[in-house]
Amino acid sequence: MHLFIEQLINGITLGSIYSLTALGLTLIFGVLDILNMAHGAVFMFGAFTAVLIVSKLGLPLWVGFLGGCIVSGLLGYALEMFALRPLRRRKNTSPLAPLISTIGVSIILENIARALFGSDTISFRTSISDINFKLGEIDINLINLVILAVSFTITILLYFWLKNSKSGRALRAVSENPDTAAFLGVNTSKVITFTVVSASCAGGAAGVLVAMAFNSVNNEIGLAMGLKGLAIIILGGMGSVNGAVAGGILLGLAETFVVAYGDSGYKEIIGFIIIMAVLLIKPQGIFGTTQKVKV
Amino acid sequence: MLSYLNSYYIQIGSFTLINIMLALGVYVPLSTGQLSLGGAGFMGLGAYLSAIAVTRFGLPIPFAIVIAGGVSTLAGILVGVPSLRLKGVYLAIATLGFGEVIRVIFIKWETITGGATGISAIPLISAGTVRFLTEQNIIDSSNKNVASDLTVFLILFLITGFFVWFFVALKNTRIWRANSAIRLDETASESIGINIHYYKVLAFSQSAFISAIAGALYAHTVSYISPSDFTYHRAVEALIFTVLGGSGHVLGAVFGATVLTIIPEALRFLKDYRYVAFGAILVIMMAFKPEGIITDNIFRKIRKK
Amino acid sequence: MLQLKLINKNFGGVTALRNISLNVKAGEIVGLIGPNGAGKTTLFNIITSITKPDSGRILFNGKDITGLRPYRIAELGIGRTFQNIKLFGQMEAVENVMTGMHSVSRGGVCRCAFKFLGYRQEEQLLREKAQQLLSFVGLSGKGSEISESFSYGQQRRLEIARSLALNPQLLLLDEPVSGMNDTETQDIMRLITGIRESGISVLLIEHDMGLVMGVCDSVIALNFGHVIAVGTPAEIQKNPEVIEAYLGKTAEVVTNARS
Repeated sequence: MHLFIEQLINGITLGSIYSLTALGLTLIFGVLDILNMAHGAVFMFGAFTAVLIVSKLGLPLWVGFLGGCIVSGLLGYALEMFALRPLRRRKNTSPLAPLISTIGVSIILENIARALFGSDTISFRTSISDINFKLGEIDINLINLVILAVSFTITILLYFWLKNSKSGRALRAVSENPDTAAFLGVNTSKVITFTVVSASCAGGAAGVLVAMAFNSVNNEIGLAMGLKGLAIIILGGMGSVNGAVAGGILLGLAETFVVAYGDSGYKEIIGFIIIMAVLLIKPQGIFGTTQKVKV
Repeated sequence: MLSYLNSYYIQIGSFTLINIMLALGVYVPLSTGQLSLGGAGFMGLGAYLSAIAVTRFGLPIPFAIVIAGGVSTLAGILVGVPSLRLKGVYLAIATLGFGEVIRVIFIKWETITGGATGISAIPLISAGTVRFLTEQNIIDSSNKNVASDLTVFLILFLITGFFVWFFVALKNTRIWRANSAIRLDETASESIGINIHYYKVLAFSQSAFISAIAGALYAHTVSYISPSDFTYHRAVEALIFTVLGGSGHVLGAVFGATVLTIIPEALRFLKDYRYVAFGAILVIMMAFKPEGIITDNIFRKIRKK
Repeated sequence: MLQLKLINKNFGGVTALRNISLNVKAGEIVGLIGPNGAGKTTLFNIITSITKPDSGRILFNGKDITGLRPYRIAELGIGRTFQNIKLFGQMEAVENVMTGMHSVSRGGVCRCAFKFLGYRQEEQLLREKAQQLLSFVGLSGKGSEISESFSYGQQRRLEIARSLALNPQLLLLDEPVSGMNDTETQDIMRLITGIRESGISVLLIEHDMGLVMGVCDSVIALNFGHVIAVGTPAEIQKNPEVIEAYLGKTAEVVTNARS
């Protein structure tokens, strides 16, 4: 039983990071109707930055965390300026154009990362990496609790910001109908830039947390997480914030239990099986209402 | 005479031809407005099926390739029919998922596929020809390798040439008009009597067939395959070829695949940054010329002159 | 020829069509009028199966065609145009029309690629027929132009040519003269009469009363998803319910003022 509870905690921890990753994707999809295929690469840069700051420069973990967020945010800004904005200026582009454009950005970032950080796995040990304690029969890693706390805090902050703040409302207005929002005096361009940057920041934060959870980063992590993020928002319904959170936790639990009680080799494709199953059975996702397709 | 030919150049030529086939595999569904990222999956399916048929069951290579193509076409139909419900990015992601699932099956089903290490010592498509030429004393051990590479290239050239000719021949025919109509406006297409489901699945299975043939030929060209040959990156590469070359025209795929296979080899000093350049090409093309380099307009202008 | 029986359609609780029954006889031109939002285009979409009705039957030449896929409806001989013109913008005009001949031509992938069984002759025939259709709608000599570059009126004509390409027995025209000036409207009127003379029945949605009165044999008036009146153009013109639907409460004032 205590093993089960330990796995449950691991699953929720992993899931909370997935939720945070998927939140960034779902925000961008909600506002721009674009699947940001570069999200995983932005995520990976966040992770690498934090690892370099902490391991190479010897600065404290929170500086690394902030550094990761900032670098990812800047990359988000660049993504918006160079890959997304120019496309919006054109009339009648194919809906596939932004998808292809962000795939382009992901290729650029992945290969720059390979050149900068190499292809090897870099280990990431922090001062809290090895602290465990027992609660009754249950082994708990301190790092899991920290990750859980950080990711939930960011998720909740994002959530309330979207619901209650003025800029959050503007963002929802743009996602509902950009033309009406613009007509009502919302600076859509600013809202979009802000969305992409904050979504990327969230992605970077998730990247740092994943590096902490696995005590390492490598080059593959971006692609893997980007694809998992896709699986989650398809599961939860594209553009749905609640769906991203719930979907993330579900995927985290599913993966953890498959590894614990099944075959670890299948962990990486659970996401894809979910993608295909959901798309074929209920394309709008479990929390989504309609399949948003603009043709 | 054979010794003047450099094996390295011939191989680049062979890879170019395989890439052209993969690019066609993206072009065909795209000509009906469907973006498929499943090319790597079908390529892998073709490669493994053919390699297993030859190495385990001792089938002759041409047979094995045909079987690989046929089975993959069926798989294409199986994936294509439920995918009819999906549009745009959803289809792209579902096919991407298909590719990754296929790849994991290659890794996990070790008894058949050799797991992560893959299958090695796959006979080359040139094997029979080289044996024949050696028996007839036309070639000897000194130029055996070049002869083999050249044979591979010629076989690939014939097959790729046929595919390219086939799709060029389809241009401006009833089928081509139906496909273009579906890409431009699905509702209008149905209202004039075009069965859009049929043509979409048809395009999808054609794509699966070409990609699988490309994969099978790849296996018998490099003689060693592993799951890492058929990743997401392979699918994206094929997409880049088509998008750069021009997704509205068959020759766009041919042009894109040729240029993007040869240029990086020519500029070897750029090799590390080749993919960075590829990525930049995608972004720039989408912003400034989403229809690609080769378009119908070019041909119209040439005709008018 | 076309019979609708008790068609009902709701969109998310809002009634779009309620118990619609109507008849189009062979060789007739029937006008479908009604204020915006009366359900006219929805009715077209239901006849062509783009939208499925909640209940009711659609019969075409006595055959039940309810729920068939849209391409089957076209194959059976119902052509249509769209209110917001749906051409294949990047194709040449003649290609648009030839695409419209999909259901009356044959040829699978192999025949198209290898050009056997007289494919070329058939293709040549299609092209000639398409050129004839283009001149029929008044676009002769414009076949090789890209349809996007056409003026609004030309695009409407081209769309009519494309819908005629499938050899329809019945043609559904959705606001064929909207946005056109008087001369253009006159031309389209002649075109519609010409279409009927070639043996094709026409059901048309139109706001231009001059056109409706000028060409229609009978008129069906819709309001809020109901059929409110059926009759000859002259009868409809005098029908108080129709006048009220169009002009609201001021209707009487206006009719009084006119007389």
